[in-house]
Amino acid sequence: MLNCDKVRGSLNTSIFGRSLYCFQVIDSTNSYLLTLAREGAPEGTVVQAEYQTSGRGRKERKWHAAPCKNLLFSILVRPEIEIDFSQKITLATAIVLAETIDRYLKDSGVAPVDITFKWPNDLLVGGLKLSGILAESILREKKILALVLGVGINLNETKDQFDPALKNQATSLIQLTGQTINREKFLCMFLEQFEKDYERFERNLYREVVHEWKQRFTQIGKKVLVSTPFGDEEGIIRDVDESGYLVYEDKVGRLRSLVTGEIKKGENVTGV
Amino acid sequence: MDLKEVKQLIKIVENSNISEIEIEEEGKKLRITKTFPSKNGETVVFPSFQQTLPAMAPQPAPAAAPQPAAPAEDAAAVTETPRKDNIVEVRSPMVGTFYRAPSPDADPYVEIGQTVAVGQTLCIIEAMKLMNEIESEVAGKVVDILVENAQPVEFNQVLFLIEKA
Repeated sequence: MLNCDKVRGSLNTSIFGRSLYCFQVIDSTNSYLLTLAREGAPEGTVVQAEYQTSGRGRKERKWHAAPCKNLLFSILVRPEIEIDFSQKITLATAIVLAETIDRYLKDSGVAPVDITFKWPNDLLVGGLKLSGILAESILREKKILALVLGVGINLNETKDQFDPALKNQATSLIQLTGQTINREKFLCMFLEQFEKDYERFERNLYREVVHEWKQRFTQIGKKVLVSTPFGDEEGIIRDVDESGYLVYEDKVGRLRSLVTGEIKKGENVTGV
Repeated sequence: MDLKEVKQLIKIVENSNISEIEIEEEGKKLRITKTFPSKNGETVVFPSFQQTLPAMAPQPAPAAAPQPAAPAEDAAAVTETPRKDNIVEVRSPMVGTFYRAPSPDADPYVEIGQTVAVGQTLCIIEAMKLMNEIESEVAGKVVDILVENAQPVEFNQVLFLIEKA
């Protein structure tokens, strides 16, 4: 199990992870943290679990993971800015994760991996999923009462430990680098990076998030299958706009902007 | 509908106090959305996803006229002021997709006729994998739900009508 005392002892943050809950098994780190948030938990509270029993999200997808190999956790934020700005926080979290991986590997003297983003917030390496983010918030009177960011990242799961259905769709840092990842150190580095970046993003109303996110978005100009609220549609990706919405060109050449949906299949992307 | 008519419609929306109009004619849908300057001075354009989509499936108009809560006594009055004073409109705080239940096979958060408390979850609006639970601002009875499950919604679109307790 993750050594949470070790995380608490070495964590160099003032807010994020100062309140840390660790579980062997939980229904969902996001829903547990939302309950804590309703009871008044402070910003920066983190819930980590080795295994989740219940899927979250519209498609009830679980983060398939062998216990004690990867990292599954949720972070509580209480943004004071409007939802229009803060909804880009999922893109921002992907940026923080990618930065953390780069820094961790550099610190450990390991060659970097080429991380790309799949809209809206998956991290891929070589077209295989390394990490995903699912955020949930509570809104009242157009104000954000609480927002939890659920992060799943494959660290030490080897190919033979993967769920057979995911073998050809997912990857992990150990598979990519051959190095065992120190999970406690990785979580500390992530929370430290998150604290720095969160403050910076909030201060600038998430203005530079899309620009930074696009540095790792390699699908512009690619033909893809897009899942939309009206069904699947083929298109060519043209941009991610200032709001963070996916802009694609449909079969008859019209530009569409997509708020909810995902890229299902396309060049360099596995349908995960 | 020709270009002239579209231009006229744009003018009408521009000069009115409505933010958006949607018209469906012979399977073609047109939506005109007005842009507003935001607080920090930038122009915010509300993207309308459905703007040019051909009708793939019959869809209820998202901004369908709400049903009056009680039988109308005066038809003209109802057209102009369809809401009673104690009816509160719950509007979407964002562009996204509207969900009535926490997951596809779960029961809806609320049904018409149900009583809700302040802080009770009414629905989810999803945008970019961010699931936003919308809580009720008032206590009362849900008298109408104006959007179908899993349909896209625009900023400020009316989702629920709640009769204040």
